[in-house]
Amino acid sequence: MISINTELRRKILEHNEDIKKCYQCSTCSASCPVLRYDPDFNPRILIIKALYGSEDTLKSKEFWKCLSCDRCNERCPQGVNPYNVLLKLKNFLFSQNLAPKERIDARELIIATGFSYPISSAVNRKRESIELEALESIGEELKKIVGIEGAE
Amino acid sequence: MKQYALFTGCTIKAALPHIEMVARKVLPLLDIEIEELAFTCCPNADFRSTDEYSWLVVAARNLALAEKEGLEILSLCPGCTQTLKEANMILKDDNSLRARINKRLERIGLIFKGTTEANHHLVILHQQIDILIQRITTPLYGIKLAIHSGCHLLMPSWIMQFDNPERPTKLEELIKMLGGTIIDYPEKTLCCGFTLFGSHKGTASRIIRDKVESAYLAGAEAFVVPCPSCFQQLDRNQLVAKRELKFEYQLPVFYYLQLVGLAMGFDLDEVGYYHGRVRSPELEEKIKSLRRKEVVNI
Ligand code: SF4
Ligand code: SF4
Repeated sequence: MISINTELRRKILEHNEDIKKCYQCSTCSASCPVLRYDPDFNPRILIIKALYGSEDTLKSKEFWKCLSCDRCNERCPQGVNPYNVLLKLKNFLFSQNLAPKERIDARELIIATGFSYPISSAVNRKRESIELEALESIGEELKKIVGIEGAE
Repeated sequence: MKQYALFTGCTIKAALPHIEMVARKVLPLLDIEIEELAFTCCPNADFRSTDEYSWLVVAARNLALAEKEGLEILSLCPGCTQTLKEANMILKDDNSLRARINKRLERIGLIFKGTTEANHHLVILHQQIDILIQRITTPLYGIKLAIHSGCHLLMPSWIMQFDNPERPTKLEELIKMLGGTIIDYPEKTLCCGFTLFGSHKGTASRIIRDKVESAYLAGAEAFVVPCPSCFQQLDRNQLVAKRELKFEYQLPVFYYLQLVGLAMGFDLDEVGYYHGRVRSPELEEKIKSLRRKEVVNI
């Protein structure tokens, strides 16, 4: 039985009417480097489930495997932009506190320091050894401007 | 000399600083003057996967910094370039979204107007290819290179607007300018799989193996990449994959500007080659002997 999450469906369709044009041709799946190595990850199936707003989708950890390579966007004959649909799904999960901890930590690191890598003393020693300036955290600046839409 | 704001990106800054070093050495010799601004992470696709609105805000902040200085952005990383180009395009196109994003930027005294452009340095070098040709003193004759263009230099093509993602040729042209020999190989357009390396090492390792095997069997002596993530995946992570999957061969990796440096007369040490993990003594000898021949010719 498929259970439908109407809020998820609405969210996905909100800025993404094009997803309705998906005719399940599987071009995205045939182009996807992840699927080639790991058939549990299948963009075509994720798209149809997303279109229905299937609860199933929310429980699946699969779409965090996407490499963000954009090949499916490039090749989809219907302009669905499957990669962007997966992004919407992930954004929805994040807003519901269902994103994996690594993603949340990675986000927090960027907000706190401005960098996606921890700035350790080892990093700065290496930089200085080849005559580059040490990195410095950006401080509070990003904290003042980030936050999901509407949460002003 | 044209001035640009240098967008180095976190991966190069923190994990591959020798690429920043070579860029700072080589770009001014190609009539490109670079300025340092207080850029943050572009931000990357992982950040976007949590919250696209904040992704736009942070990208808009970076773009606004360059606008304020009246500079265009020259990027060392295809991922950063894609973020900045896409955000720029979205915000230029959507007046109401731009107004809302600017409300956020107001808090830190910035405004996004849509007056700058961001490009990967390969795009800029390709536009001024005549300058590049003039600066070459030590052509890389006989060095057999497998090109890995990666994903975001090319895709999505309506945003990147650089080359055909199915049959890319621009990086090839830029390498031929340096005198290098291009080796075509079946897995040329396969993604390097970098973002899976942390979470699904087995899958990522198999991607690396197929890529390396394909290029090696086609006769390549090294990879050339435009991207720091691809560099890490094909360099450091290649050794991990090699251990896990027990394959025999290995190929060192060059970032494009390292090859430009070599062709301009810098030596392997000066272009940061020894900061790479995968080495090839035969190739090193070959590159050194190119330089000896050059000295004899003069
Ligand atoms: S998203 Fe596009 S490529 Fe994928 S199945 Fe649907 S129409 Fe085909
Ligand atoms: S962007 Fe993601 S889903 Fe699309 S082809 Fe690449 S890895 Fe597969």
